[in-house]
Amino acid sequence: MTLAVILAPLLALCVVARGMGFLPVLGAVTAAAMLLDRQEPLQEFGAACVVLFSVLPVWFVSRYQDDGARERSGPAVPFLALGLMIILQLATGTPAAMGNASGHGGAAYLPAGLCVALAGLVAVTCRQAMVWQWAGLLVCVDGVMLSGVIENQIMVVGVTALAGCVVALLGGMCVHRVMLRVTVAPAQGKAGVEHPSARPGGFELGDIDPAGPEPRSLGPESVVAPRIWTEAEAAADDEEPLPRPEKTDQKTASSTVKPEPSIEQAEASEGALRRKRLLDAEAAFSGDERDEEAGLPKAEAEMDTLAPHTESSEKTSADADPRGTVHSDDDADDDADPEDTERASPSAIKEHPPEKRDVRQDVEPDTDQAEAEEPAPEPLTPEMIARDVWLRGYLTERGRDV
Amino acid sequence: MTHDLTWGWFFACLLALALQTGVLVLAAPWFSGWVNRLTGRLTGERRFPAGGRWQDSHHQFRRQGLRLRGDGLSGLACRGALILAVFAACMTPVFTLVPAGFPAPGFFLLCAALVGASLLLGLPLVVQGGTATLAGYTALLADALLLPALVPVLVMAGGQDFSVFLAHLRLLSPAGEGAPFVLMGVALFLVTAWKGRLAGEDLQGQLSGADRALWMLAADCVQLVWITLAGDVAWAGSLALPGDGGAEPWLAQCLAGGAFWVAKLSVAALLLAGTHLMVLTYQRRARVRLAAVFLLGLLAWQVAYAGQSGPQTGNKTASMQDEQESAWRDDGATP
Amino acid sequence: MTFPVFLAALAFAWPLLGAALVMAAPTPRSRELAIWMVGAGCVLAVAVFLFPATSAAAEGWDDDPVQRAGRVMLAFGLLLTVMENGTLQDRLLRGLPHISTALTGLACVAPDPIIGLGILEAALAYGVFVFSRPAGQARAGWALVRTGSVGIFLVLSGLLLPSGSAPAGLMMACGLVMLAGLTPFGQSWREENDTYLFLPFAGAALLLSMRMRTHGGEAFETALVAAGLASVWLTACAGRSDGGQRLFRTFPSALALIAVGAGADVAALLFLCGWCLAGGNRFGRSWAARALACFPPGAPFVGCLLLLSMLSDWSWSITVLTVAGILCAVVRSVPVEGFTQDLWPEDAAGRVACSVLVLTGFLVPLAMMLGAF
Repeated sequence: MTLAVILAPLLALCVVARGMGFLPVLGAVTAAAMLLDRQEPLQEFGAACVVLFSVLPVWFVSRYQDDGARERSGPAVPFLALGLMIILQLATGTPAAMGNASGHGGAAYLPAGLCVALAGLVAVTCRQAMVWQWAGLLVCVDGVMLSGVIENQIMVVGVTALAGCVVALLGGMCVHRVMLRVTVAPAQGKAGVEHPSARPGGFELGDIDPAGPEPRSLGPESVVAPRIWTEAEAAADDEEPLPRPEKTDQKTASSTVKPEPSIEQAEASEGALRRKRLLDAEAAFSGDERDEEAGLPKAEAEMDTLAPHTESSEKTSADADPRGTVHSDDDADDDADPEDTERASPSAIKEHPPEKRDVRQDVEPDTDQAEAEEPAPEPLTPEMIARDVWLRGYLTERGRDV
Repeated sequence: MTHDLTWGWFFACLLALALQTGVLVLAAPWFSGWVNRLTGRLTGERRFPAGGRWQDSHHQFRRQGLRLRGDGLSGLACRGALILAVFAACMTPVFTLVPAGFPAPGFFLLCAALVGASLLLGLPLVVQGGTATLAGYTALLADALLLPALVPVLVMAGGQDFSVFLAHLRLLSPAGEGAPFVLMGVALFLVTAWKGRLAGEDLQGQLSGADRALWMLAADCVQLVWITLAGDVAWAGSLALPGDGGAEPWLAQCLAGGAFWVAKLSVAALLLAGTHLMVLTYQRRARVRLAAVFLLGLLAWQVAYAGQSGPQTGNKTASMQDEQESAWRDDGATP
Repeated sequence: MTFPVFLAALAFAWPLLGAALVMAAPTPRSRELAIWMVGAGCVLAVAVFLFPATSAAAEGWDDDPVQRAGRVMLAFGLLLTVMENGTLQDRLLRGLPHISTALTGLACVAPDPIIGLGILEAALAYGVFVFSRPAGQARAGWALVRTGSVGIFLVLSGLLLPSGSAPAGLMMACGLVMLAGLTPFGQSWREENDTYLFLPFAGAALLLSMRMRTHGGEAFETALVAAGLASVWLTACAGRSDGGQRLFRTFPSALALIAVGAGADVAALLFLCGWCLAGGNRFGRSWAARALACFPPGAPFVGCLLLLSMLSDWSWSITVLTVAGILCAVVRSVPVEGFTQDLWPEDAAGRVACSVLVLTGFLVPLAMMLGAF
């Protein structure tokens, strides 16, 4: 009975309550609990497996964006796990139940591994988000492994290692297929504007209307982070909307400005859009530029070299892109104006749909998103614009991966 | 352990108790301000420096209060809460225990004093009416239910003096045999975890003037006393026990205990700031807190009970002897 | 190496060989080849059943006649799957039923049920990998992995607890019920995946549950019977709606779990036969529905009789509940359309299945009387 054995169920509860972030700590504590028990090859193997299965998935998930799935299960779930642990302890830890069990006579005894596994099972069954369920399964792996190592059952440890591999691999595959790659949060500094290669990819997440048609509802908070705001949203359902701190200034700005341009665009006809774009040509374009780059990283590299040509042919060609002007113009005003981002993206999308379709077909044959089916149709409602922005970011991200 | 309490030890203990009380009461606003600042750091906001809370209390104390409806009662409640909190602080060991013959309170009395202080702290909200009334009633209810939720923890400590209980725990290493009591400490810690403060927003209602200062000081004291209690239970080994050797080792142990106390407080401040990151509504917060305290206490009790035959840690040596004997018997049987 | 041992080893390796050949063969010829290979596999399984490798039993490999007969059922289930399906384009999908049957057969025979669980997990992983390759299947594949892994972890946790204790039995029973895919608790298998992976998988879970009874103790048996009864009654209550039909597909495995809980292994074997040959997504055919609903000429009917005779020793109230549940389910949720027609099915697969069901129904009680089980 060591402190690590006590801490492991608590950390498993933290995983149930908060999400995947606690998984590496749980893995480390579980490994410590194994190694403190005894130091033999079995224990070392188990500890190595546990650390591997706890650290690697978290690192892997951190490269993807949170899918923003709304969690309908409330804060009562960890208490369910805690109650199950108590029942388990009651059923196995009492001297009467331990009478026929050998090995732990008298000493303080907690079936820690099974408690951890129970917590993981609760997380798998009660949480809806895929990543959370994955974390729950990995917690199960940790728990069963700990229990098997402590009980010194080689078979169980081996089978659990195999199951852990299966869960980690298949879960990682599923994550790779259903989630977006994370992009570096844009415009944290001005360095990104000067160095195109180092520029953050991806569109501004805050530009997309969270209530839009895309089922995955990318909100500004859906960057990989501890799942704090699900609680806030649950609270917002209950009573007054709670404030959401911890957004960068720009995101706040973009989300506050957001409704206005979308209304504008709903009214604006195509011609008006084009005119507005020309009018805005000398205004701040860095937001636009950033957006363009995020969208088309490869094309951007070519366009950088072709910038003068683009500039000369900009007014006539249908493929006119304000990027050229930006590169030839001064980069002096590089405050990212979300209106520009919002305004320029539909035009770019309108001009590129066939190309987009090609990209989708040869780059990502197994997209399983329902909304990835058809590129932009003719009449552009704000929802469609938002979806297109999303789709573009998604496709190029996947393309970059491939 | 001393069997006869000399007058010298008696006075030394009195002095130590007074010192502990003073340290607790004076450090409480600092600790609270520090937690607040850490929370701000974690959430990316700028908050006042740690001493700001103390200055705020000081400043409020000198201000002229506005007279509002029900202010007399709430002023009384604030004073009562502060008295109870200081009373609890005086019973809480910070860096030293008291020797065996010294009159020491039980754990139940300590908890009851703290819960009473929390109840009195919730009273001004209810008295004054207005928007905070509902929150005040919730806080009152949650604090009233806290004592039943603490039952498993109270059972673990048993009816003995708290100091004696800790002196038993002192012999157990928290990384080994004393691990269930770490769980108990976590349960005690969770009592304060989702207390009425939501990331910088106080539930102090519309108190003003000296009442407000007293309220703040009492609330900070209650929080710090709970935290100190949790730290004591989780790792009793850091506390000094008078009468082991002479006065000099005791003093050295006291100094070390004080340093360990600061370390425990910094860990607790980190954890508290972490819990403040969780945004919950106050009703839900109360439920989460009560359930967590009760269930964790139950788990700790069960884990401890499985090994040490429950709260009677007094006959621990006997049970250990039994274990050894049974082990010998096993050894004798196997070959 | 004696002949029976060689035979047994060949019987396990045969479906893998078949999978390799079927995957390697050109698409137009693959179906014919698969049928030949699987037919030989069935013959091998029957041969293994008839000539048990007694020397292997001494080394810990399982040699229970019921288990061997169960593996024969798995082989025939594979035969039926291959005969029912047309020529498949996807090579991996073509080989999947062979591989899953081979792995589940290996899982059943493994010296330790824990190893069997590991092999089942591997089979599940391979199946899910094959299923979720096409676009749009990622989440469905994840759901399969999740449920299967939860079941396996539950069983493992139960096996780690002291044998015979109540929590161990409960956890193992819950896990096995999830692995067997009992309708309210189990997997959300979809139609097209059913027979490829789910039939052998659930069959292996049933066979494993017989071997875990020694570890589970009384709580294990009670929990299995309770879960089976709940499933039967839920089927009865759901009626003939769409959901009810879906519940009906695992009717034999629910009865088999009751039989395992009651200790009637032979009855469980007969229900397993019904499950492998008529369960899953075949419940829409009239002959399969008749077999599932325990109508007279067929293995499940005989199994029902055996189960009731064993159950009446166990507990009268549960017997009455089971009988009432079966009757209700048969009356309320058997698909009615074309139920009485088509007594002798037209297609070859149906004919094979019918004859195997009837033969098993006759032969198993005969073998039981002769003392083979």
